[in-house]
Amino acid sequence: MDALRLDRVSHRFGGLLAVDEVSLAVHPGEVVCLLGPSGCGKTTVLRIAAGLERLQAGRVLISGQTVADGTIDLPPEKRGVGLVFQDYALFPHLNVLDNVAFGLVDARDTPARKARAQDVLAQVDMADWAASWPHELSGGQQQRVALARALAPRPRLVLLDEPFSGLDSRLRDQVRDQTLHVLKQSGAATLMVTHDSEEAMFMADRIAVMRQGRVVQLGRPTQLYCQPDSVFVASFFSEINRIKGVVKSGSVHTPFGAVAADGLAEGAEVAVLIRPEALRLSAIEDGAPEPASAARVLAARLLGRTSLIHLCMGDMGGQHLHLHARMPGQFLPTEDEIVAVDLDRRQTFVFPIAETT
Amino acid sequence: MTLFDRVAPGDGPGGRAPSALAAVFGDVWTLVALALALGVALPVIAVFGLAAIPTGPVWRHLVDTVLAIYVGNTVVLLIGVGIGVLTIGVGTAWLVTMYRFPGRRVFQVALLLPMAIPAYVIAYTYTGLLDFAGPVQSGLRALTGWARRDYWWPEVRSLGGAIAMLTLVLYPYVYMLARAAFLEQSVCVLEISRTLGRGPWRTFAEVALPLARPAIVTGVTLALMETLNDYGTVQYFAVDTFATGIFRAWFGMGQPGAAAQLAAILMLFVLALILAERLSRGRARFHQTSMRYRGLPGLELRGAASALAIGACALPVLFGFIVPATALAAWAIKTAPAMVDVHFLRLARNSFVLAAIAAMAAVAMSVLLAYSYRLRPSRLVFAANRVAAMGYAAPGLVVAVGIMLPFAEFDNRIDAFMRAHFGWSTGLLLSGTLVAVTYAYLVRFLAVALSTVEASLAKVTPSMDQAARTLGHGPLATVLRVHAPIMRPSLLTAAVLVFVDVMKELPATLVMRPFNFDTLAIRVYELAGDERLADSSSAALAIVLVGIVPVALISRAIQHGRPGNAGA
Repeated sequence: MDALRLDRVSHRFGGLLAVDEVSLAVHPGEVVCLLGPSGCGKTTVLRIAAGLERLQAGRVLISGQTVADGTIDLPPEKRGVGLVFQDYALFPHLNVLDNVAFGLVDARDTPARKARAQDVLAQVDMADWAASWPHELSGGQQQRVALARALAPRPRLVLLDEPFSGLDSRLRDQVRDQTLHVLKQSGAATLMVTHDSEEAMFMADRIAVMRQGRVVQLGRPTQLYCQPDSVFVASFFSEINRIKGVVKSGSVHTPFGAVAADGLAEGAEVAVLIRPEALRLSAIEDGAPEPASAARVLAARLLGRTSLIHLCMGDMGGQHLHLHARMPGQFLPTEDEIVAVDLDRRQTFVFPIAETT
Repeated sequence: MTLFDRVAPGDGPGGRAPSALAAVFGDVWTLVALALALGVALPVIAVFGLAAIPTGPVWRHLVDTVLAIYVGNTVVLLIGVGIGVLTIGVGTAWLVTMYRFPGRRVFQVALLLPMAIPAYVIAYTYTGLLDFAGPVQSGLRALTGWARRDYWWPEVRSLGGAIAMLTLVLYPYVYMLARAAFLEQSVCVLEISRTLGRGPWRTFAEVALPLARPAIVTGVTLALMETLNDYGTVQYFAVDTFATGIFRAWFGMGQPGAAAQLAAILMLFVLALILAERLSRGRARFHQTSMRYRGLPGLELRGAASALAIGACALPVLFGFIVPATALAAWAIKTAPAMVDVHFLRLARNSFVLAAIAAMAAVAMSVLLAYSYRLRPSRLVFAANRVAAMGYAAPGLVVAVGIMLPFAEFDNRIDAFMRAHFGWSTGLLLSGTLVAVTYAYLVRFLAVALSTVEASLAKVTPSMDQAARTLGHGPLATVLRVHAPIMRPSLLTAAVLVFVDVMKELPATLVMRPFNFDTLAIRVYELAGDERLADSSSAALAIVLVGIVPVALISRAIQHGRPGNAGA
């Protein structure tokens, strides 16, 4: 039984169709991310699931029970979901322990509530801060308290709305990691909204990529990364090189040779998308045979775990191609050096050009 | 070396060694701020000083006869008005902020309207409407054929009536501040509460209300200060409080010393209110933990709930504004031809002149105070600014006692001295002049102007100053070309707010106005005192109409005050 199921949910704000027939299921214990640019409707989907936005069309089920359809619309307090906002929204008039205990409405006796709240605080490593006030905490600590507060009533479904975007990048990695562990331990199903593809890949068992109110592709992170079915999805997960071309006898001519264009019409204009790490560079040894393709180095920068190399490739009909390549570790050829380029075709995607807009 | 000498020539290489005075007080700006603060504080200090002078049997007599009544009535009045403004103010604020129902946007503004009516005006109006000869009882008798003793009718002119009148015109203080607090609450916090199992009512009680508590307490405190300031209503309703007691001791019994003692006790009530407000804030600091704002969801109300909400919002507006304003207008149509004459225009001019002088002086003083803190942001100047802003808490009659008694003493001494030495009477130099009454207005209303000016000066950031200076403007040019344009609308707002407050002010004007210098407010008071309620309506209506101006200003300010809600 799915922890959350959305059936053809649509939502309008005035004339704007913010959510367009979205169907989605989250299984118990699973983390699903709604990924998309701002304004794609992902937060609205989350709010509809929580009951914070009145359902207009479709159906919402939580643990098999219909919580909203055309006739019923269970208010948020009856749905038993945990929610964490981007800005955590801790109650400023309650201390940390009371914040976490706030949702424990069923536990009538105070000691049991406090004990449970203290337990959950311990899970997020905030046990020592129980008596503190929200404004005394750092952003990362507030995030952990907000998570503990959402998890304290043991919800079957946890909803996270951009839960890490308020944190600076170094803290974010650490908090993300801890959040994932806590969520997996709790066994709750999680639906998380984010605009950061890396974050989605870090957190998610499955990702639903949204665009203009629709889910355009749904799958495991590897599927989305390695088999994107649109330019939008391919370019959402990383910076990507783009070359124009025309289909001729089932393939597209590129500076790296022919790239297969299966299922595309002869003569169709296409975009060839190449992930930066698909360009494998190597130095040309003296006296070695001429490589199949070569490029001139414009600049090379070490970015930590990888190196980014700006390349200029010989002319394709009089026009220079500027490409980015990413190599693992430290790979820093000097400027103007000519390097051999090999293309990994598994990370190269061809889409008809009409779709690139 | 003069008082304001900061630079002693030839003193050290820079020539900027501060004088001894400057070492203590800082400099000119600090001194200006301290002087203005002292000016505001003096009348209150004088009241306590005068109260300490024993009045012997008079005081004994007061304690034995009326003091308990004054305290009792004042406490009941405060409790009654407190509960009234709290219920109406918070309830309506929550409804119009969090729910959607027909007329909500109209109510958001309309609920402020009763503020335009001074308490004494609404008291006169309802007396005119509801007393035995008024249209309501007359109509009832005509309809039923009852005679005088055939039915029970509540007495308007009573303690309960005073509570009702004051509640109707003072609840907007609570409404205004509570609404601002609800608006600035992150809706995320409320939504989280819903997902954690609280329904809308418990969310209101357990999250929204505690978060808004400081603002609500401030609103109630302001309303109660106005209650203590009121003279016209309690006097007309014959409810004996400190205000009527001060007046009677001073002018009825000719015992200014006793008046000062009563004023001091009244001031203690005020200080207790201020203290209670501070204490209630307690330890919890209600920083917003959430910086994200979303358009408030506004739960749609339907059917009976919607009708209830409309009713709850409509009643305060109806009884606090529409009914009294309509009654005034109806009377004014009948009586204006007789009442609006040359004399009336002279009163209007007097009101206008007084209000304009006080408004300009208050704005000028506020500018001085605000700039002294900007230029010398020391604790001393900060404290001076806060003291200067405390004057609003002092009831009008307390200020009147604190100014008039020392001024009269001063006049008498000078007069006696001049007569003894030069055989020439100087008469009244200070007391009973425009100077004295303007001074009283400044003490009472400086805070109104100061808060507006301070807020506007804060909008001119130091980096704007620095940008102007690096772009080649001197300090004066910076003030003229950067500060002045930014602050102009706020200075005007500050002036308008003080202007209207002075127009409405009754007790201090009553006591302190120059001889034969009557204003519209005095006219309303005197005609009402002669039971010529209908005749007083033209002047009362004029005051109400002027009073609507700040309501419009305030409602606009609230609408634009919410982050992310500009223009909404």
